[in-house]
Amino acid sequence: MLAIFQAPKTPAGVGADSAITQRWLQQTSAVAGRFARGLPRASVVLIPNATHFLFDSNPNEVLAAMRAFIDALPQSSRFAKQKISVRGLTNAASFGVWMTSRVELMTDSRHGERLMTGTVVAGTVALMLVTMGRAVIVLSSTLVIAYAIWLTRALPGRVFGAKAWSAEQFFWFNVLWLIAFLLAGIAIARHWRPAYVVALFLAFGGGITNGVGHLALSTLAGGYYPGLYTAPLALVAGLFLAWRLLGSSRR
Amino acid sequence: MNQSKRRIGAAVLLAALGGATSRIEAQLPRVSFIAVDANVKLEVLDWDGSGRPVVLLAGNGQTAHSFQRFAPLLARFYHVYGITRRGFGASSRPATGYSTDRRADDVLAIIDSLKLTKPVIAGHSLGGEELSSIGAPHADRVAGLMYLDPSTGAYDDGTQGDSVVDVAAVSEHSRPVARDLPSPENSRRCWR
Repeated sequence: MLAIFQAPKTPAGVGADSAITQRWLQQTSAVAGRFARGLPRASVVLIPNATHFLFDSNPNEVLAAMRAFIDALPQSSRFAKQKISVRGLTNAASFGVWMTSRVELMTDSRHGERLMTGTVVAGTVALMLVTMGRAVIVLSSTLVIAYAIWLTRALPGRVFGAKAWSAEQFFWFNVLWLIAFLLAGIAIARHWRPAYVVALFLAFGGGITNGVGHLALSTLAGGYYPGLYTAPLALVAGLFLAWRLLGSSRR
Repeated sequence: MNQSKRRIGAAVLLAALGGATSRIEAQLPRVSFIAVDANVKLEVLDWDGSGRPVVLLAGNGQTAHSFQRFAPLLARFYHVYGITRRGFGASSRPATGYSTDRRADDVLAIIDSLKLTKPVIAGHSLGGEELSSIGAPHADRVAGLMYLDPSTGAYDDGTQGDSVVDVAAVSEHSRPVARDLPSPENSRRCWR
């Protein structure tokens, strides 16, 4: 049990010095002292100069006290499993790098794309079993990167009128994106808010736009167009990721 | 070439706008409403996060949104939820059911509905009363209790006035005397 009290009128040192605080708690008639004396096993924390809404007036002190208390509680196996989340992300990153390298070695053929699709589906199931929620970020990253490798080899030439990239340039271009997406996944898991920008770009640009775009290109071509098989996967991953991101921020 | 520059400029602008919007939106929690009784649904905020679940109970006259600034900090380390008690905010406002025990049962019903295992519960001010009501008879269902500048009702047996602490009330073998919460309207007046 933890109790955090504001301590507006206390002698110097109370709240800052442990020995002085304990002495004061044993003597004072303030409610914090009565609480501490009545429940000697409880952790009583005093925050001088805090307001009644101490989590707003002194968030860092309250957060530190809460973390010290919660992290000292016995861990159940359930939470131990949840802590694997970061490890799961690392596994997913390894998977993504592996898949990227494999795809890079594939020939530009329907067979290669089908093989990649099968790999992505298998990876999807495995990842979702391992890390479920957060893994969707990484899953989408690997999916879209693999997809992008297949489709955008000639992107600079087609869109910007520049010389098409070499295979090596293209490989590193996609590896950098992969790293960015994976870092974003980890950052979101750690609640670093700016990472949502990268994830949103991934959802709308890499997932939804790519998915719809290449389905449309196939329709216009009247048959197969590179990316036809992977476009639905990218679209679904993009929609799911967008739903997760926007759904989690909807009031 | 000019067309290419325009395309790149538009893409950068869209990314910046999307980023600015998402930066604001990402601060907000996911909201749901969970039934705790017949025709009674409580607002539950989910700030997400991973690890041990932490449930935040607001003070009197407040809603779970009162943790809006603090909860994202906590959610860096734990999965954080907030509950708006009945009669307040967007939660249902039934005519009855405002005793401490009933409000504590509401919290337990939400814990069950969310399938939370051994959460840590934090109660601010009046939320401390609900903590005591949960912690004494249901100690096996929570991992820990955190009182945030609790009201005296959180550890007052009600027999000797508000200033007297009945520590047994929060021990494992006793529980505080159930106390009816003033009507929501009166509570709000107190805090204005």
